[in-house]
Amino acid sequence: MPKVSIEWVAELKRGSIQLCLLALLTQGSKYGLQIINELSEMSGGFFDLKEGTLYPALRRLEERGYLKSEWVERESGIPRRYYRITEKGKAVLTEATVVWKEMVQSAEGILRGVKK
Amino acid sequence: MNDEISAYLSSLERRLYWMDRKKRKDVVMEVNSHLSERVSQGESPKKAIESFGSARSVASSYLRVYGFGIGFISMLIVIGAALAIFTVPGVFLQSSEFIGIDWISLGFLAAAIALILISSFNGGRRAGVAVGLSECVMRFIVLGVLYAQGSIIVQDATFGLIGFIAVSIILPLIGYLSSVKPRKFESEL
Repeated sequence: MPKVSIEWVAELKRGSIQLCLLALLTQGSKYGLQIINELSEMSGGFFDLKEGTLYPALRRLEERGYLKSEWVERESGIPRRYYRITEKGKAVLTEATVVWKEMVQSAEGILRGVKK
Repeated sequence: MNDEISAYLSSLERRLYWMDRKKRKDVVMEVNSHLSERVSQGESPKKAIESFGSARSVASSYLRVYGFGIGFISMLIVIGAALAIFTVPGVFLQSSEFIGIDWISLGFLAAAIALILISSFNGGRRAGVAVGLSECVMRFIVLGVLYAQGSIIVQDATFGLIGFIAVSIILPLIGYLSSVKPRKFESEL
């Protein structure tokens, strides 16, 4: 990745991370550590989130009604809190995905134009 | 539980003291679950804690999501209402003695507004509006009492009364507006 300012990268990530979280959870219920690992893996390390910021972000999405969570007991070890996307979350994701695609297309158009 | 993790969780819980108790316990349990799992995968407790973030920044992120709990907001409401009593011109002075601006009540008004702003910035919109509203209501109650006793200054001054009403109504609005800030994902990303 080119060496640009950390703040600039954070700004770019900020706009898309909630969309990615919702999209990831359409695959099924997941717990925090699993979400962190999968996001990092699927994005080739780009979304290598700080753990202490992911959990509050999940809670924020839950407060808005986009996610639901529940504790799941395990035979070995302490329980895990699993998050799943709600119908409201799915509706928001559908809407946001359309906007996202338009935004990416538009931005790419501009970037291509500038490169020429 | 490991000592380092235990100390970290205690520190986090202390910093979340203002939050609703049930949510606070739930948050600490989730963080515990995460750190314990990291450690069970072979990571050192110190490293697991470091990569999670300082208790201070993590607590601050959670407080931005949940704001203050009902218990703490109730305490702020009581403090706000108590402060508001002294924001009413004429509480300290009899109308016959009053000349010019009641600086004491203005001082209390500044303190009352500061309390709204502190509540709103740290505890969210709900806290800011609740404190502002309690101050507003208390001001009208005190005004009514003073008016009934015939000691309120504003009874002879229309402009004073309008100013009083305007200031009172603005208080909850300050709580509402000061909590309107851009919703952003955490800056530590």
